[in-house]
Amino acid sequence: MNSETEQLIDKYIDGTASKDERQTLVRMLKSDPDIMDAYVEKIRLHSLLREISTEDQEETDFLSLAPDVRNDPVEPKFVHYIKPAAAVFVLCFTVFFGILIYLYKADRDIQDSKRIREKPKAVIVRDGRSLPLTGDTRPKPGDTIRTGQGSGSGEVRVSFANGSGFGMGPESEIAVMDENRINMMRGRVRFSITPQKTDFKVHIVSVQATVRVVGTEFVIECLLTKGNGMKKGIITAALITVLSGTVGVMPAGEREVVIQAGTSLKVTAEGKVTELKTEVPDKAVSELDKKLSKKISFDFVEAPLSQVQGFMSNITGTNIIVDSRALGDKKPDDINVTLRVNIMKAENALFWVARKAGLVCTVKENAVIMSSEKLYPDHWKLHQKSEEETEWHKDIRAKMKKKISFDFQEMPFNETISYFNQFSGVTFIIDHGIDLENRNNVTLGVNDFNMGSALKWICRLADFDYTITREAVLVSDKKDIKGGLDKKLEEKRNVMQAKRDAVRRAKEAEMNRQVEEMLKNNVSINFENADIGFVFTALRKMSGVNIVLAPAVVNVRNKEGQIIHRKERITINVNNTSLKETLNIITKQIPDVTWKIKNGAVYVFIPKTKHDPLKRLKR
Amino acid sequence: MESKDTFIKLLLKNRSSVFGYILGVTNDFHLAEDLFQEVSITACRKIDSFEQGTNFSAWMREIARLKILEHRRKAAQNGLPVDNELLEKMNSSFLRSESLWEHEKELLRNCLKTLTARAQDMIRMKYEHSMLIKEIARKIGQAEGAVQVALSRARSSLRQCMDRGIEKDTSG
Repeated sequence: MNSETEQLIDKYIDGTASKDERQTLVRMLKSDPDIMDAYVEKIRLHSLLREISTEDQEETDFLSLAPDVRNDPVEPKFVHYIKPAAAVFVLCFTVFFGILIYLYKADRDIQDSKRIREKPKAVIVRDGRSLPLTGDTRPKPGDTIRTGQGSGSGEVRVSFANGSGFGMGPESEIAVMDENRINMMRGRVRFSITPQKTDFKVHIVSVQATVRVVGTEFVIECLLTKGNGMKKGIITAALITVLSGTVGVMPAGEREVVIQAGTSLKVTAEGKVTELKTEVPDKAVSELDKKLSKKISFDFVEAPLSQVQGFMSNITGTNIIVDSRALGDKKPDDINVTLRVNIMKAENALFWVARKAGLVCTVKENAVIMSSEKLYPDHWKLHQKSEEETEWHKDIRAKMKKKISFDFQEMPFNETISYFNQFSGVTFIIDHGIDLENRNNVTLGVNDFNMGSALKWICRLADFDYTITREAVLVSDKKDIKGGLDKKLEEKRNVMQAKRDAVRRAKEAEMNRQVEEMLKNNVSINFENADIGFVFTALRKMSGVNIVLAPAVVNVRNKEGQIIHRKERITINVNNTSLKETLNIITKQIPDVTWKIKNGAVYVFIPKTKHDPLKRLKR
Repeated sequence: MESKDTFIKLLLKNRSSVFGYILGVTNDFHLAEDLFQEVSITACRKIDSFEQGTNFSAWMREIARLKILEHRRKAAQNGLPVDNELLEKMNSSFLRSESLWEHEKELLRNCLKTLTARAQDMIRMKYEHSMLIKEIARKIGQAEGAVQVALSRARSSLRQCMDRGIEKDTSG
């Protein structure tokens, strides 16, 4: 566990963590068992301290207050024992305190040196004031950022609002001119630049060379002279290494040299340029595949895309770039993502993050790019071609067969989906761009019903469709969510689907027959001027038959186009009458309404030949 | 009567683990104490459904889980935004560290004495008097950040001291 996570847990424990930080902590706890163990360990100590303190409050004095806080409401009990021995004590105290200070300082030095090994310390100089650099700090024009000593492997990460960023090694210094221009003074800095409309430029002050990029990842390292005396530690050259994409390097007064990924360029202060080959990151690609196969979980609620990008990048250890060209006038901070993912491959999780943000994903060189379909037509598709999906596909199908009981009354659609999500452990995703506000709320109650069938009903009532893909169930109103497969796989799927349909139809027929039998059972009910929804709910609970109401049965639109409850009330008094007959009596009291047996339930609806009151009154 | 005596014994023995679990989610001593009380009352009522020989604290934590979900909105005010998944994962982690609680309490008592007077004061203000970081900072005239760092260091020293104690006990 790194020190940032540790600090976050401490902040939470001390009650100073913000809502966002608490949400970040929850995500980390869910996705990483080691962090959860460390958290529980800290909570254990936290809880024990509280317990001991309250136990000892009345009995003993395990702690005594120092003189400067003696006005605390709890007066230490042994203060009066100290007074008679004060003279002797002062002498001993002085010696003891001296030793304590020495030990304390030594301990602090050890702690500091440990921290240095992890990451160099960094400060940002803004408006003449030197401030510690935190993870949230966004660089502004005019800022200077410096890092202190470190082991060499640690980096201080800084991000711009547009998704670009850089990691500074120890003893490095840069000055921010604007979002696209940096002056580099010394050290080693790794840049990850998202594709921009304008070029990003880094001017290396010591060698007077400028590095120009469109969107890529590269490292600049200022090289120092070794030797002794005055000549030691002078920057005589800079090494530019391109990790992905293409970079243009322009030494002062010279022509631009373009270098590709896997190449380094050494530029001396005299303007001499030497090209060096470095490791071509073939290995890096398979390494990336490995990282993207890692299973992860998270729960983002209205989180800015830049925050999600940072989290995903940290947890997978991959470079994730948000292409600002695909965002139009927006910045990654302006796009919020709400997404809950239960244990899935990082690649799929990234796919869903991008989809929720209205973007697509692709891999270029050694990074995952989130951009638009137009800019990257070879993006990851909704339906994968690979066969490995069958395993998780089976798993989701098995989970969807779970029996479920619920009683949703005017429940917003997204809440019904989050109920399914929590109940099943399957990741449900409501597609990007769906206007949930103008959708019908869901009124549906079922007893011991197959979850897949229940979901089908809910989607049908709200005019949605769903598909199982990329380790999740995608709910959407888009027509093409089931397409996008390659031909062979599609054929195979169709054969499988036909088989499943045949089995399903047989099952449905059997379920419908059972419902028909149940409709012969007698019921006794007595309602006067009762609400329609209430009567059907009572009937469902009494008979055990699932009764599904179409939205138009309980709601109508008023003249202003708002959805309101129907005014009709039900009055019924039957004794030992068959359920079938009872249903007929009730439905006759609601204009245009009829019922039928469908998918193992009684479906109460308005036939298409009649006018739908939800549309009719709107006109 | 016999079952009630057993219950009280078990409750006292497992208090720390269950209380810690609730505190881990609520991060509010008072709310955690209230919830723990509710959990104890429910557990007392349902003691007959507890199977002798099975894990009592896991059983209590299951009751606590349901209570926390019941108080979800209240719990999430200062604590973590809770759901089933988080509670279950936390429960598994508590299960792994269960046997250590009682032993650690004694070690902690000794380790507290090794802290500097200033650190002891801060711990006392934080845990005995439930003071907020900003209240402690005001009281001792230091910046909130400095208090937070000092408290983190104090807890870290205590943890190290306790680990040394455990190591000593197991090797001895």
